[in-house]
Amino acid sequence: MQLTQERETVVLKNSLGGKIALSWLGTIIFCAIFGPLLPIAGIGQTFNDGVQLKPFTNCGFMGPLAQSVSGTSDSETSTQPQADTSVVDESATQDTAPIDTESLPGSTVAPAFDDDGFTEETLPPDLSGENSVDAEQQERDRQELIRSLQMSNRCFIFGTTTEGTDIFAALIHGTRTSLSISFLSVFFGGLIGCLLGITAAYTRGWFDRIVFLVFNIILSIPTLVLAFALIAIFATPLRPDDTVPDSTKIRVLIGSLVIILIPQLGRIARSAALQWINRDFVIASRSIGSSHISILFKRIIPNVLPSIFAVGFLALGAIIVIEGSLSLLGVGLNSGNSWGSLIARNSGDFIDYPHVVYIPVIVIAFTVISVNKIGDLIRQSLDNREAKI
Amino acid sequence: MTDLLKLEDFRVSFSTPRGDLHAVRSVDLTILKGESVGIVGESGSGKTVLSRATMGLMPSTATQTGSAFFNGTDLSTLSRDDLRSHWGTGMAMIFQDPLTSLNPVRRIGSQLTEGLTVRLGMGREQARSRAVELLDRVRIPDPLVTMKKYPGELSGGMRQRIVIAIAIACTPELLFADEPTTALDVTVQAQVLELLTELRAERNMTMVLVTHDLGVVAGHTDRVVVMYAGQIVETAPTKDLFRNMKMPYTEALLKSIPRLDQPSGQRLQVISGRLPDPTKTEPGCAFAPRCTYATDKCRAEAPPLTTAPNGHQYRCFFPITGAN
Amino acid sequence: MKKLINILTRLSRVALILMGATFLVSILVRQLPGDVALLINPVASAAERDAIRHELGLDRNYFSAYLMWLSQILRGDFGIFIFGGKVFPVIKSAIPATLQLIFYTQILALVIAIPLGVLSAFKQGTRFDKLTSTSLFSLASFPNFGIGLILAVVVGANLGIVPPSGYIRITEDLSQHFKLMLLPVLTLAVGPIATYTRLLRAEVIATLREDYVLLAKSKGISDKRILFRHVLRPSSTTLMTSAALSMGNLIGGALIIEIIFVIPGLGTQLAKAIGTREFFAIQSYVAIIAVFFLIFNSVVDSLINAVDPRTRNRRA
Repeated sequence: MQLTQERETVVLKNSLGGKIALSWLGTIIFCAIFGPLLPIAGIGQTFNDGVQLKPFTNCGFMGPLAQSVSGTSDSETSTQPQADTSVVDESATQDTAPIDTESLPGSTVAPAFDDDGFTEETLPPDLSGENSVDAEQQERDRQELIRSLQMSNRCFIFGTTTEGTDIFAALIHGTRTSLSISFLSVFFGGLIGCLLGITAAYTRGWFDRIVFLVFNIILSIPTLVLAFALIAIFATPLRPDDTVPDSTKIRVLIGSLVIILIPQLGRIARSAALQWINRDFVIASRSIGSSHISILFKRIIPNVLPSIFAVGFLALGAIIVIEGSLSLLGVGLNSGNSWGSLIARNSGDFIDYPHVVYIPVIVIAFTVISVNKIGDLIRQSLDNREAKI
Repeated sequence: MTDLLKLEDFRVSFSTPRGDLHAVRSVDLTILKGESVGIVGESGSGKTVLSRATMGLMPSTATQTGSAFFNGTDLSTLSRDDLRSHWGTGMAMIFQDPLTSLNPVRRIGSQLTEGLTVRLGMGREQARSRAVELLDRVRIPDPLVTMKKYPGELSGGMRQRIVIAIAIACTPELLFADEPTTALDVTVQAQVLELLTELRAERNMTMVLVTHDLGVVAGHTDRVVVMYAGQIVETAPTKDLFRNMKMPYTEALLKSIPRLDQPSGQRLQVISGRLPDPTKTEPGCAFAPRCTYATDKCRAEAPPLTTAPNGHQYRCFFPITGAN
Repeated sequence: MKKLINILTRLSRVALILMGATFLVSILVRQLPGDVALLINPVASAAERDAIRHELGLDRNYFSAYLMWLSQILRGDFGIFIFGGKVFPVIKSAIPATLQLIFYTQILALVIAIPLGVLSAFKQGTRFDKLTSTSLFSLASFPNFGIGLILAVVVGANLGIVPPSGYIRITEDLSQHFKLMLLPVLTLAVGPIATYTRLLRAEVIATLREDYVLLAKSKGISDKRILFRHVLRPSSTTLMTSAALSMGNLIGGALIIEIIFVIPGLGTQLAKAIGTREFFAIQSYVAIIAVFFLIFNSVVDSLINAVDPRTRNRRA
């Protein structure tokens, strides 16, 4: 066992992909732990007033701030295009995203542009007739915004959402939620799955049959369908207008994902354990009268664990994606507090401001690539070990 | 008789993490038309690599240098497609393990007729009747039934006969038989060897019989080539070799065969030690560390291939004299 | 006779799993919060509510409610929507879209993955091989809703090559049907393509080392013929199994793709049903999905038997 672990780290360190994967994973774990403490993570703060900031706004090397704050460089004609975009925004939001566009819980709207940030968004477009007064007000707000952004000296490396959230800050902030959901569910799913799978493989008989049947029953319902159903059932408010707090949703989310992961990981633990149980050294140790517990812990579990780790890493990535899918389907988080919900919340603006979607998608993809790569390398080193036996 | 195959300074090496592995080190060998040559050596002596590399059947990790003339054309200069045109019709090969050398998911018939239709351009019916003839020739009972079977349903001996049938299907001039009997039962071994000898005589085929068993070579070849550590160490007409072997290695090989005329209770002699590391090139005779006759000269200097007046070649400073 | 018993035990196992899955779902949907009777008739009196509950079988315990549902299903009655209408017509109209999506995806994935896998195995270690595996690996790591959104916007809306979303029945307009299906199928196929290519590559590499490939080669047959006639079939067992197993994942993946591309399939209906707490409908949808999943599995199992006689011998 000692030897294997050494070889695994060697494989990880020798491959360039492995190094990159490890450093990315390290970075996001760092963000998950310290992210909310970083001064940059101003989640809940809005920086503009229904005005989209493009990536690299105010970063000093992508042109003046005024151009990034859309429609403000030419103050004469700014009213009309702005009105147009807001119309498009709205229809897009309503059509493609099954998400309720309520404001961030606990969001504090900056005093300089306080009032109608979100209400204006949700107003029907036929108010444009009386827009002239509003437009002046808007223009003033916009100038105010530019000034305050310049004053704040804050760089919007990934821009902001239409709601005015700094995407970079939101991503860093969301790391904690996304990663804890996926780590916790894989951990508990793997733990329970291993316990059931290994015990089933070791005892055989009726226990094995029942466990195997239950695994198969759960596996016969596609993962996303089951997760969707579980969360919809256990995290729906009593009355349609109520909202379920994020903490409840996260708990239900983790619980449901654990239920889904148990058979997935348990099945692998079972088959891996079956492979080892029939090896000569296990039979030998049984024949000299070792206790079941000691055989399980000394002989079987250390050998099954690496394969579980390999699959567990793949599961980590899969869960991050499922979390996003569930948000997009409208049953997951929708507060923008996790990567998936950030996408779901802003997917309506995608056509006009693609960066609100593709930046979080790329972050998710990077993370998934990293955990897949690590899982892959672990499996490779396992294969090497198998080949040497 | 004319040369059919001529190898000149033929070398094969593999690049491995531990350095280049020299499987065949500078082999010169001429095989005449209609001849039957045995290549003998321990496992790892390079005999299988030599035969496969001659045909060009090596994986891309192998490097081949030197030249191999087949019917006067240098195979090493040919493109893959031109080389392939010699396979099956010019040269063919029988592999060691009949259990693994037939495709488990295709019927015997389709594997047998494939060469006939693809290489010889026969029609389906013609190929089928030809295949039945071939199966009949290699003494497969019930050829028509066998054609429809999968390899998994046949015994080892039967499968090896089918492999032979596949190899001779396109009437090759040169047949490499790579340990054709090693994986078979002793009784079946004799039958298969007999079959090969018959087929060779009947089709005037040249055969190279690769084996580790001097006993197999004895009755079925005209000439024997003994290989050790990737080199030819002795070559002589079969009768001459057994009567008058020069190399201590050949002698040791012969002594390691169990014999019925030996007094019972006597221990079988084994060649102590192991083959030298193929990734290294040591000075001196490659067999010296294991040779009972070795002297300091053997350890310091590599013996050249010496040719005796009767054509008997050997690579030894102190050849065993006839009476010994 | 033995064969028959074999098939029967297999079928009964499938039936058992199906019943387990539907029972599980029937328990789950009963946990939906809120009073269904009040949803149907917000002003119902206590007696009326009880009557509604009785009619729907909600006053029964889990087991007898399940049996009631089961007997309905077996009679071909897929239940009703609480807000009116029968479930069956909806299922009937939703299934083709989902099945088309999955079958097209599977076909596209296999059509792309088989040559890619065989070729990259044949060219193992070359730049082509490395490029293929790296790019597929990275692409497959993208969340498929992300790929879907990007394709819909970039290819569909901005470039305007194909319409970004929607669905038309195949009988209505053939070319439009395929145009509309292109993006969702492409999105859904990315994952399977990567998985299949990778599996097939590994298997083909192993097969290429076999003696029978060497024998085929020594017959003087072209590389192409060797790869596709001799190597592909013995190498495809794992691919087939994986393709069967991925059917289930595809149904799950189709769920979100259907919603992104506005395809009125089972996924869309299921999402709608969960959103409106139509739990009879949910139960029937999940049952249908599980049935398809298990059917795919058994079909592929027998397909593998046909392709690879080795497994036949093993079972016999």
